[in-house]
Amino acid sequence: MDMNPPEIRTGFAQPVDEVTLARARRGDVAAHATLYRTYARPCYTLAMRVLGSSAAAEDIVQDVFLKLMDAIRQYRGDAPFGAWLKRMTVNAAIDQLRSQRHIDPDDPEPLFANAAETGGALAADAYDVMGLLQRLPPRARLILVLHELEGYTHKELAELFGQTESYSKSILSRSLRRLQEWLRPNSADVEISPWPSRS
Amino acid sequence: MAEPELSLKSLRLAALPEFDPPPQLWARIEAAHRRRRQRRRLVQWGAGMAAVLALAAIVTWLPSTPTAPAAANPLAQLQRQSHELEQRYAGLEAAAAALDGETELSAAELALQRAYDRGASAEELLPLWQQRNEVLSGLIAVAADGAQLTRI
Repeated sequence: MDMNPPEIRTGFAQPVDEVTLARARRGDVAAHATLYRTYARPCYTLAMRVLGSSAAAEDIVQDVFLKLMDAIRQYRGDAPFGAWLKRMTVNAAIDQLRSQRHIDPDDPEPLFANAAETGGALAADAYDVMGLLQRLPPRARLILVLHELEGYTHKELAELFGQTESYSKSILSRSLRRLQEWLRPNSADVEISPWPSRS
Repeated sequence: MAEPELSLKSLRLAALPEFDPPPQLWARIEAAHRRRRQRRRLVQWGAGMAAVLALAAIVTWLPSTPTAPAAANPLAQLQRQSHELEQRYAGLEAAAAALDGETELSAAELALQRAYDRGASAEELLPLWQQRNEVLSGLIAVAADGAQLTRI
């Protein structure tokens, strides 16, 4: 007998039952609402982390769920539903960054040039991790969030950006070093609570 | 000793917060979805109506076209049938041998030509075309028999 407690999954990893999916495929509004209740939070959180603006994040959630209501008929269950939805969210976030011309040049050097200029003194919100994250260039932030928080591999990032794996590795490494530099003078203060373990 | 690999975890940052979307967002999404569906229905309805109107236009237009009455016009029907028979007869190998029949055909065609020359009415022309078709049908039958005989 399995004595292990059932794994509680959160965020995009939350499961969704087949009946809800079947109803959602038929256009059942109540099933759509169930999916929204389950996944709106991870979707909004990802958008907030990448875009740093509640208005932009709301637009992403709206776009993603409107698209979901149409595209769910094509969802065949090859990948977990949450992973499918996460991909839609990431694509929507990338589209939004592109539309705002916030997707920086491909070359990592100019990508960090502006960030270096503003990286001198810590702002008042330096202890705010979100504030720190937003100081990174958008593409660097996107790569960092996707790799470090959403579990994307460098191979997946390479496909997403049409670049090599070493490209995202380079951006990620620079982003983390930059964060480390920003934190260094205040590192004792910044350590507020332990980093939650990633399931 | 190699430097440990950097990660967000190794930076020992405070946990990144999670965010809840505003409570009214779902209502907005639902409303936008409803509007989109209504728009699509309207477009579909419009397309359906356009198709119905196009069909109606075709149906009303058809009888007024010059080719359409041909189906209902017995003279045109006979002329078309005559043309078809003529082609069938020309395609038969034994057609050249049916000389007596061809004299009959020439007579029928002469009668037709004279009728047209004097401006005969459709009522007069009908039996003449009918006659030509009968002669042609007879010729085809004779030619077909001949072909069979040849094969035996």
